Amino acid sequence: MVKELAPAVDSFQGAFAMATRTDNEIRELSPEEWDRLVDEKARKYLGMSGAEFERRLNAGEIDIDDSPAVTRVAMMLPLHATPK
Amino acid sequence: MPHRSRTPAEAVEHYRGQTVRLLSCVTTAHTTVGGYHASDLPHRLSLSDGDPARLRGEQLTLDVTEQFRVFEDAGGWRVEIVGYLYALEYEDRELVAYHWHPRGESPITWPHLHVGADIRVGDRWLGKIHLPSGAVGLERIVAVAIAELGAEPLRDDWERLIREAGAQKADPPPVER
Repeated sequence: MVKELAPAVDSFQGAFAMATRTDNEIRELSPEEWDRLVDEKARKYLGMSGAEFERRLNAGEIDIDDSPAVTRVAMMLPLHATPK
Repeated sequence: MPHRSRTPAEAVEHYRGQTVRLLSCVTTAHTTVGGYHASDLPHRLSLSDGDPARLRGEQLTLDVTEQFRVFEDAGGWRVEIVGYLYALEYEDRELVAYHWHPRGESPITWPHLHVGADIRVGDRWLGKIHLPSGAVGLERIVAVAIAELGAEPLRDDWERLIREAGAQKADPPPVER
């Protein structure tokens, strides 16, 4: 887990100014952790496991543009088939 | 001008840093990234674990997932976006979604957008139509969220960051004919 920190600016402005630095958290996931994340999202948004979703997507049973939820989960998969 | 690095990992670090800096204009949500090496499969970067991130101001949320590859050319290692999902929702309904998924089973391989308009065109719904868009950068999505949809910027220098993000882009992908 890494934090991306831009150089701090004048702290005098403190609470009176909007941020001018980046302290949003960056989470690094291993391939296995990505798989688990995809599985979690597929269950949450589509009511199926990540593996089932990937199989049905690759078989053409589900179109990537079927719904916002489908696209959301599909784009978290590595789209690796040959470009058309 | 795209940034060049000495190693694949350095290239990804640069890319993720630039992306998170840009996103920090509108959200404090975390970003998830995987993959720091050259690979046949694209790596992925998602905002908020792939969930819509709520923006401050209007009832807007933002979806961001990018697929990227790391490769080496004459100038060094760099990251190239090879697919994306950028979507803005209002009151939990999709307003507009920019998609580019050039690989996979879909025949729609070119960058396109969907609008969340509840309009029927004969027996088709406008929201399902793939409207050609050309390749769109995340900085344009952040800009439209702030400048046109009323999301409150979270930092003073958001205009500069958007400008800088746009200036770092490589040429857009070739148009298929």
